Amino acid sequence: MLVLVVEDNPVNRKLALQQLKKLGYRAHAVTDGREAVDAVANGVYDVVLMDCQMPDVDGFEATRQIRRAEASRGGHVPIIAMTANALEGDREACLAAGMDAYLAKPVQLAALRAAVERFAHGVGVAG
Amino acid sequence: MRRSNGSRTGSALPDRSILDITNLEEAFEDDVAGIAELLEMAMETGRKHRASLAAALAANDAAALAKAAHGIKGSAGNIGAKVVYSLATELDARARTGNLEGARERVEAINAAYAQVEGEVRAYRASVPSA
Repeated sequence: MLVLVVEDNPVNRKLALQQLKKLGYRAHAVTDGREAVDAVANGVYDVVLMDCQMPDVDGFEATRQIRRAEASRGGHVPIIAMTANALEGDREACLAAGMDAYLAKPVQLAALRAAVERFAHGVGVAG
Repeated sequence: MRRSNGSRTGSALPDRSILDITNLEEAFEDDVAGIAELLEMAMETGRKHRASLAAALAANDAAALAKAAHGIKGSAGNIGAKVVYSLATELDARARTGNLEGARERVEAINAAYAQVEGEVRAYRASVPSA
């Protein structure tokens, strides 16, 4: 199980990596959406944790690009949004962009475990 | 009141009404130096975001204000800086709609709350030998 963390804020990135380590998952991190698209193209990640608001290519656009690429080459990497927005409509915006699930920041360890395990066992999408 | 003892790590526990590090303790367990390092990183990031807040306020730029408030909200929430998180959430939501009414007072409140967090972080770091 290899997780990609996409997060521009160094504090949030470090905490997410530490939480994944604690949960026993291997993880890499990139700092913007463009890097995320390139990293996912390598096909080595089982799950992506995607921040939504980032400079240049944000999480929504990165997800759209990843899904477009998958449409031609096949595959579907689960993408879990991590966002501090927590406003009405944010979850729908994440799903509309092609993300599979949504975690509101601050992300609690138990919620992260539940979200990642869902995809680790290949169970379900959307929600 | 600060509790100087009682943690399984032996570090000085912050006043949790200001800085609730429960989430960090879950992730780092006994690695108090790791927690201290993350808190210091958050203070550095917070200084940059607050400089952006001040610049956005001076320019009456609601979008930039929302962006800076959003950044503060993200890291403040993760380290458990509850008051800062709450104030930044409110400012983010209002500035997103272009509403700058009361923005100056909210930025001042964020700065004041941040000063308290910084005090807690300094105390925590001082209690961690290797930090």
